[in-house]
Amino acid sequence: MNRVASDDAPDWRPAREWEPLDSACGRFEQEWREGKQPDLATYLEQVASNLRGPLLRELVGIDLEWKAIRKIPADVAE
Amino acid sequence: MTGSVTNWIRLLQAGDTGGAQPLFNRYFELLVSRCQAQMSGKPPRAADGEDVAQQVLASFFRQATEKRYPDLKDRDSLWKLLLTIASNKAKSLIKQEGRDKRGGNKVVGENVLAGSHSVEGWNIDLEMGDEPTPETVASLNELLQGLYASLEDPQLRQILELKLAGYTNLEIAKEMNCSLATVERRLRRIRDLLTERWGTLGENR
Repeated sequence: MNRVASDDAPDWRPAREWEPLDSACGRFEQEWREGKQPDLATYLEQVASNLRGPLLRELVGIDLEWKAIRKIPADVAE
Repeated sequence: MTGSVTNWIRLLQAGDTGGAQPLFNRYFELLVSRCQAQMSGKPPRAADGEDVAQQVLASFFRQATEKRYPDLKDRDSLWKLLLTIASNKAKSLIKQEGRDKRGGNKVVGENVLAGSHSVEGWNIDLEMGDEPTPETVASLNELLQGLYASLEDPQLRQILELKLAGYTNLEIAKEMNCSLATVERRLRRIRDLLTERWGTLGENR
Protein backbone atom coordinates (compact mmCIF):
# COMPACT_ATOMS: atom_id res chain seq x y z
CA MET A 1 0.00 0.00 0.00
CA ASN A 2 2.85 2.36 0.75
CA ARG A 3 5.09 1.35 -2.06
CA VAL A 4 6.45 3.96 -4.36
CA ALA A 5 3.84 4.66 -6.99
CA SER A 6 6.33 6.00 -9.51
CA ASP A 7 9.78 7.52 -9.53
CA ASP A 8 8.28 10.97 -9.40
CA ALA A 9 5.46 10.48 -6.94
CA PRO A 10 6.43 8.33 -4.00
CA ASP A 11 4.14 7.97 -1.01
CA TRP A 12 7.07 9.03 1.08
CA ARG A 13 10.05 11.23 0.29
CA PRO A 14 13.27 11.41 2.34
CA ALA A 15 14.38 14.67 3.97
CA ARG A 16 17.37 15.00 1.65
CA GLU A 17 14.98 15.26 -1.31
CA TRP A 18 12.48 17.51 0.43
CA GLU A 19 15.05 20.15 1.26
CA PRO A 20 15.90 21.25 -2.32
CA LEU A 21 12.27 20.83 -3.40
CA ASP A 22 10.81 22.92 -0.61
CA SER A 23 13.56 25.47 -0.84
CA ALA A 24 13.03 25.99 -4.59
CA CYS A 25 9.27 26.25 -4.07
CA GLY A 26 9.78 28.76 -1.27
CA ARG A 27 11.95 31.00 -3.44
CA PHE A 28 9.54 30.64 -6.35
CA GLU A 29 6.60 31.72 -4.20
CA GLN A 30 8.58 34.57 -2.68
CA GLU A 31 9.06 36.00 -6.16
CA TRP A 32 5.31 35.92 -6.69
CA ARG A 33 4.80 37.56 -3.32
CA GLU A 34 7.18 40.35 -4.37
CA GLY A 35 5.09 41.03 -7.44
CA LYS A 36 7.33 39.25 -9.94
CA GLN A 37 6.34 36.44 -12.29
CA PRO A 38 9.03 33.78 -11.86
CA ASP A 39 10.06 31.48 -14.67
CA LEU A 40 9.38 27.79 -13.99
CA ALA A 41 12.24 26.56 -16.18
CA THR A 42 14.80 28.59 -14.26
CA TYR A 43 13.84 26.82 -11.07
CA LEU A 44 13.78 23.37 -12.63
CA GLU A 45 17.39 23.84 -13.66
CA GLN A 46 18.37 24.38 -10.05
CA VAL A 47 17.64 20.85 -8.86
CA ALA A 48 18.95 17.39 -9.70
CA SER A 49 17.33 15.76 -12.71
CA ASN A 50 15.49 13.16 -10.60
CA LEU A 51 13.71 15.95 -8.72
CA ARG A 52 12.59 17.96 -11.74
CA GLY A 53 9.35 16.02 -12.22
CA PRO A 54 8.19 16.43 -8.62
CA LEU A 55 9.40 20.05 -8.53
CA LEU A 56 7.47 20.85 -11.68
CA ARG A 57 4.28 19.51 -10.13
CA GLU A 58 4.79 21.60 -7.00
CA LEU A 59 5.66 24.75 -8.93
CA VAL A 60 2.69 24.43 -11.27
CA GLY A 61 0.34 24.33 -8.28
CA ILE A 62 1.86 27.50 -6.83
CA ASP A 63 2.01 29.15 -10.24
CA LEU A 64 -1.67 28.53 -10.96
CA GLU A 65 -2.75 29.85 -7.59
CA TRP A 66 -0.81 33.07 -7.95
CA LYS A 67 -1.96 33.53 -11.53
CA ALA A 68 -5.53 33.18 -10.30
CA ILE A 69 -4.87 35.76 -7.56
CA ARG A 70 -3.30 38.16 -10.05
CA LYS A 71 -5.94 37.33 -12.68
CA ILE A 72 -3.30 36.25 -15.17
CA PRO A 73 -4.67 33.70 -17.68
CA ALA A 74 -2.98 30.30 -17.34
CA ASP A 75 -1.22 29.24 -20.52
CA VAL A 76 -1.99 25.58 -21.16
CA ALA A 77 0.76 25.28 -23.75
CA GLU A 78 3.27 26.51 -21.19
CA MET B 1 -4.40 25.46 38.03
CA THR B 2 -8.00 24.26 38.07
CA GLY B 3 -9.06 27.88 38.00
CA SER B 4 -7.01 28.49 34.89
CA VAL B 5 -8.63 25.62 33.03
CA THR B 6 -12.07 26.81 34.11
CA ASN B 7 -11.28 30.29 32.84
CA TRP B 8 -10.03 28.95 29.53
CA ILE B 9 -13.22 26.94 29.15
CA ARG B 10 -15.30 30.06 29.86
CA LEU B 11 -13.33 32.02 27.29
CA LEU B 12 -13.83 29.32 24.70
CA GLN B 13 -17.54 29.04 25.41
CA ALA B 14 -17.79 32.80 25.05
CA GLY B 15 -16.34 32.42 21.58
CA ASP B 16 -12.91 33.75 22.55
CA THR B 17 -10.46 31.46 20.80
CA GLY B 18 -7.69 32.80 23.02
CA GLY B 19 -8.72 30.04 25.39
CA ALA B 20 -7.91 27.39 22.81
CA GLN B 21 -4.14 27.51 22.83
CA PRO B 22 -3.56 27.02 26.58
CA LEU B 23 -6.15 24.25 26.64
CA PHE B 24 -4.48 22.64 23.67
CA ASN B 25 -1.05 22.94 25.27
CA ARG B 26 -2.28 21.36 28.45
CA TYR B 27 -4.39 18.55 27.09
CA PHE B 28 -2.75 17.47 23.87
CA GLU B 29 0.07 15.58 25.50
CA LEU B 30 -2.19 14.11 28.14
CA LEU B 31 -4.53 12.84 25.47
CA VAL B 32 -1.78 11.42 23.31
CA SER B 33 -0.44 9.65 26.33
CA ARG B 34 -3.82 8.20 27.21
CA CYS B 35 -4.61 7.13 23.67
CA GLN B 36 -1.17 5.66 23.20
CA ALA B 37 -1.29 3.78 26.46
CA GLN B 38 -4.62 2.24 25.54
CA MET B 39 -3.59 1.12 22.09
CA SER B 40 -1.98 -2.19 22.83
CA GLY B 41 -1.22 -5.30 20.86
CA LYS B 42 1.21 -3.74 18.40
CA PRO B 43 4.52 -1.94 18.86
CA PRO B 44 3.79 1.66 19.86
CA ARG B 45 3.57 4.09 17.01
CA ALA B 46 3.70 7.74 17.97
CA ALA B 47 1.42 9.05 15.27
CA ASP B 48 -1.57 6.96 16.22
CA GLY B 49 -2.10 8.50 19.63
CA GLU B 50 -1.32 11.90 18.15
CA ASP B 51 -3.82 11.38 15.36
CA VAL B 52 -6.56 10.78 17.84
CA ALA B 53 -5.52 13.56 20.22
CA GLN B 54 -5.33 16.10 17.42
CA GLN B 55 -8.75 15.15 16.13
CA VAL B 56 -10.22 15.19 19.62
CA LEU B 57 -9.01 18.69 20.39
CA ALA B 58 -9.96 20.04 16.99
CA SER B 59 -13.44 18.62 17.45
CA PHE B 60 -13.68 19.94 20.99
CA PHE B 61 -12.59 23.48 20.09
CA ARG B 62 -14.99 23.61 17.17
CA GLN B 63 -17.94 22.45 19.20
CA ALA B 64 -17.09 24.45 22.32
CA THR B 65 -17.08 27.70 20.38
CA GLU B 66 -20.47 26.66 19.01
CA LYS B 67 -21.68 26.34 22.62
CA ARG B 68 -22.37 22.60 22.27
CA TYR B 69 -21.15 21.89 25.82
CA PRO B 70 -23.25 24.05 28.13
CA ASP B 71 -22.57 21.77 31.14
CA LEU B 72 -18.82 22.01 30.82
CA LYS B 73 -17.59 23.81 33.93
CA ASP B 74 -14.19 22.72 35.09
CA ARG B 75 -11.08 20.64 34.56
CA ASP B 76 -12.61 17.33 35.63
CA SER B 77 -15.62 17.58 33.36
CA LEU B 78 -13.37 18.70 30.52
CA TRP B 79 -11.04 15.74 30.94
CA LYS B 80 -13.96 13.29 30.97
CA LEU B 81 -15.46 14.91 27.92
CA LEU B 82 -12.14 14.75 26.06
CA LEU B 83 -11.75 11.09 26.94
CA THR B 84 -15.22 10.35 25.67
CA ILE B 85 -14.51 12.08 22.39
CA ALA B 86 -11.14 10.31 22.22
CA SER B 87 -12.77 6.93 22.72
CA ASN B 88 -15.18 7.60 19.88
CA LYS B 89 -12.46 8.95 17.63
CA ALA B 90 -10.19 6.00 18.32
CA LYS B 91 -12.91 3.53 17.50
CA SER B 92 -13.73 5.44 14.36
CA LEU B 93 -10.05 5.45 13.37
CA ILE B 94 -9.82 1.72 13.88
CA LYS B 95 -12.90 1.13 11.77
CA GLN B 96 -11.65 3.46 9.05
CA GLU B 97 -8.22 1.88 8.90
CA GLY B 98 -9.70 -1.59 8.99
CA ARG B 99 -11.73 -0.68 5.93
CA ASP B 100 -8.71 0.85 4.22
CA LYS B 101 -6.62 -2.20 4.94
CA ARG B 102 -9.23 -4.55 3.54
CA GLY B 103 -9.98 -2.33 0.55
CA GLY B 104 -6.40 -1.36 -0.09
CA ASN B 105 -7.31 2.30 -0.19
CA LYS B 106 -4.79 4.81 0.93
CA VAL B 107 -5.88 7.00 3.79
CA VAL B 108 -6.17 10.47 2.36
CA GLY B 109 -7.19 13.48 4.35
CA GLU B 110 -6.19 16.72 5.89
CA ASN B 111 -4.66 15.06 8.89
CA VAL B 112 -0.99 15.86 8.84
CA LEU B 113 -0.16 12.66 10.58
CA ALA B 114 -2.37 10.50 8.44
CA GLY B 115 -0.67 7.34 7.35
CA SER B 116 -1.44 3.75 6.74
CA HIS B 117 -1.16 2.04 10.04
CA SER B 118 -1.93 -1.60 10.53
CA VAL B 119 -4.44 -1.85 13.31
CA GLU B 120 -5.39 -5.48 13.29
CA GLY B 121 -5.47 -6.89 16.76
CA TRP B 122 -5.35 -3.51 18.43
CA ASN B 123 -7.27 -3.19 21.60
CA ILE B 124 -8.74 0.26 21.97
CA ASP B 125 -10.55 0.77 25.20
CA LEU B 126 -10.13 4.25 26.58
CA GLU B 127 -11.15 4.42 30.17
CA MET B 128 -12.59 7.32 32.05
CA GLY B 129 -10.60 8.26 35.09
CA ASP B 130 -7.76 10.30 36.46
CA GLU B 131 -5.14 11.96 34.36
CA PRO B 132 -2.13 9.86 33.28
CA THR B 133 0.68 9.35 35.73
CA PRO B 134 3.55 11.87 35.82
CA GLU B 135 5.84 9.16 34.41
CA THR B 136 3.63 8.68 31.39
CA VAL B 137 3.37 12.40 30.84
CA ALA B 138 7.15 12.75 31.18
CA SER B 139 7.78 10.12 28.53
CA LEU B 140 5.19 11.77 26.34
CA ASN B 141 6.86 15.14 26.78
CA GLU B 142 10.12 13.59 25.70
CA LEU B 143 8.46 12.19 22.61
CA LEU B 144 6.87 15.52 21.71
CA GLN B 145 10.11 17.40 22.26
CA GLY B 146 11.77 15.02 19.84
CA LEU B 147 8.97 15.55 17.38
CA TYR B 148 9.28 19.33 17.42
CA ALA B 149 13.07 19.17 17.45
CA SER B 150 12.92 17.19 14.24
CA LEU B 151 11.20 20.16 12.63
CA GLU B 152 14.04 22.66 12.51
CA ASP B 153 12.32 24.99 10.09
CA PRO B 154 10.18 27.49 12.06
CA GLN B 155 7.65 27.61 9.23
CA LEU B 156 7.16 23.85 9.42
CA ARG B 157 6.66 24.13 13.16
CA GLN B 158 4.14 26.91 12.70
CA ILE B 159 2.18 24.89 10.16
CA LEU B 160 2.15 21.87 12.44
CA GLU B 161 1.00 23.96 15.38
CA LEU B 162 -1.81 25.53 13.39
CA LYS B 163 -2.83 22.17 11.98
CA LEU B 164 -2.92 20.59 15.40
CA ALA B 165 -4.95 23.52 16.65
CA GLY B 166 -7.61 22.60 14.10
CA TYR B 167 -6.98 25.15 11.36
CA THR B 168 -7.93 24.12 7.83
CA ASN B 169 -5.26 24.19 5.15
CA LEU B 170 -6.87 27.26 3.64
CA GLU B 171 -6.88 29.06 6.99
CA ILE B 172 -3.22 28.19 7.45
CA ALA B 173 -2.44 29.57 3.98
CA LYS B 174 -4.14 32.84 4.88
CA GLU B 175 -2.46 33.01 8.26
CA MET B 176 0.96 32.45 6.74
CA ASN B 177 0.38 34.50 3.60
CA CYS B 178 1.24 31.67 1.25
CA SER B 179 -0.50 29.50 -1.33
CA LEU B 180 -2.61 26.50 -0.45
CA ALA B 181 -0.19 24.43 -2.54
CA THR B 182 2.60 25.47 -0.20
CA VAL B 183 0.66 24.49 2.90
CA GLU B 184 -0.19 21.10 1.41
CA ARG B 185 3.40 20.53 0.30
CA ARG B 186 4.77 21.41 3.72
CA LEU B 187 2.27 19.19 5.45
CA ARG B 188 3.47 16.33 3.27
CA ARG B 189 7.04 17.25 4.13
CA ILE B 190 6.20 17.25 7.85
CA ARG B 191 4.48 13.90 7.54
CA ASP B 192 7.49 12.45 5.75
CA LEU B 193 9.92 13.93 8.28
CA LEU B 194 7.95 12.50 11.17
CA THR B 195 7.63 9.20 9.38
CA GLU B 196 11.36 9.12 8.80
CA ARG B 197 11.97 9.81 12.45
CA TRP B 198 9.24 7.73 14.05
CA GLY B 199 8.76 5.02 11.48
CA THR B 200 4.99 5.17 11.23
CA LEU B 201 4.61 4.45 7.56
CA GLY B 202 3.92 0.79 7.96
CA GLU B 203 5.40 -2.52 7.09
CA ASN B 204 5.49 -2.04 3.34
CA ARG B 205 7.93 0.83 3.28
